[in-house]
Amino acid sequence: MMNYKTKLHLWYYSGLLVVLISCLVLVFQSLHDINLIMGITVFMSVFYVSWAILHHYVHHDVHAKVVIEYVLIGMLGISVVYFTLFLLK
Amino acid sequence: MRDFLHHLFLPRESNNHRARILHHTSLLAVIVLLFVLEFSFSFLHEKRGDILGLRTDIAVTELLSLTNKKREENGLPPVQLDPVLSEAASQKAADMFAGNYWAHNSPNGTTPWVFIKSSGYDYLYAGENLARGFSTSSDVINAWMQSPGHRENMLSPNYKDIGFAVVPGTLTGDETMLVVEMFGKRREGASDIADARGNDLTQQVPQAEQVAISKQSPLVASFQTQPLVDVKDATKGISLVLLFVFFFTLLLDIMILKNKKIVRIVAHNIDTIMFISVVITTIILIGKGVII
Repeated sequence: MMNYKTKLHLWYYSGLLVVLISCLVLVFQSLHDINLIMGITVFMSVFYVSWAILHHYVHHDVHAKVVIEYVLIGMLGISVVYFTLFLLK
Repeated sequence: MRDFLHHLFLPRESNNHRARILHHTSLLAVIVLLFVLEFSFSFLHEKRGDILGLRTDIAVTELLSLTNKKREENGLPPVQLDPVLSEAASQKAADMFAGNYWAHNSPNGTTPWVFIKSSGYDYLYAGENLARGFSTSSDVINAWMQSPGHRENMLSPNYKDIGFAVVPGTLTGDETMLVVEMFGKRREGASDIADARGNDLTQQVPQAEQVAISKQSPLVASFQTQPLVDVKDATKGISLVLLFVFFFTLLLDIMILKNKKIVRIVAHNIDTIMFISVVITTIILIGKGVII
């Protein structure tokens, strides 16, 4: 029998997965529009960071250290995509 | 060395049970490194394009044969290469570089049809596809075929003729390879109908409309550049290596700490792995060029 905490985790991860896959589908449909891909990446990163913080908040373990880690990972995602795209114009 | 690598990638006491590469300072260092690399690549690309540049091999003959191959696969007759349409495409490319714009219509409202008309091609149907930043002819054709509007132009039974221009230059601040493809069918006493990708481009062309055309609009049959390192491969490769390092470090973190009762204040690994996986897929998918 699944407990409440596990259920919450499952909902959280499913939600994140759905949004990330939707973003990937959008990227696939706009493969040659650099600005749109960059926009989708920024949205995806912001969503990932917000969703992750919300997840920690629900489980009462939000710490500044954790928030900074998520923000840095989100920034890394944006930086890497920008680095790949910046000379492709 | 081995100890340092363990410290960098595996959770253990020396790194407070979190791989050093996942610490805040390391993440920040990687982001800064990416921007430094970006600046260096940009500088090297501008100053020494022969070392770090865009590898290009685009030929009009190949663009034509690939277009006709796609048409044939869809049960359509081939289009013929028309020097007048190629001249129009070349003039359009020259105008885009001179006016520094990346659009079907110029900032002063000049439509593609003006170039076609002023080249002396009296059309019944006409269309235009644009691409920039691609490395090979097949990449250009595949990109157009994947876009519904461009595909419609490529596979339109209305067109009999085609013209291409493959021109390198600087557009909106970036060095690029521009490909202009123009389709047409000569008028045989019927009314004007212009057809092109995008609704805003479907319009009649007034006979009196004229355009200032660059005198230097050479017809380019093919363009090849062979830099020592292709900038697209370099940036994509570095990005993927970096992301896979993070991906596997996080995976190892999960595996190693699975049965250890260590309390850490860190981000959840699973959501970060999911995020990084999507970014990896995005980078694998993208990066061939831009079309409009």
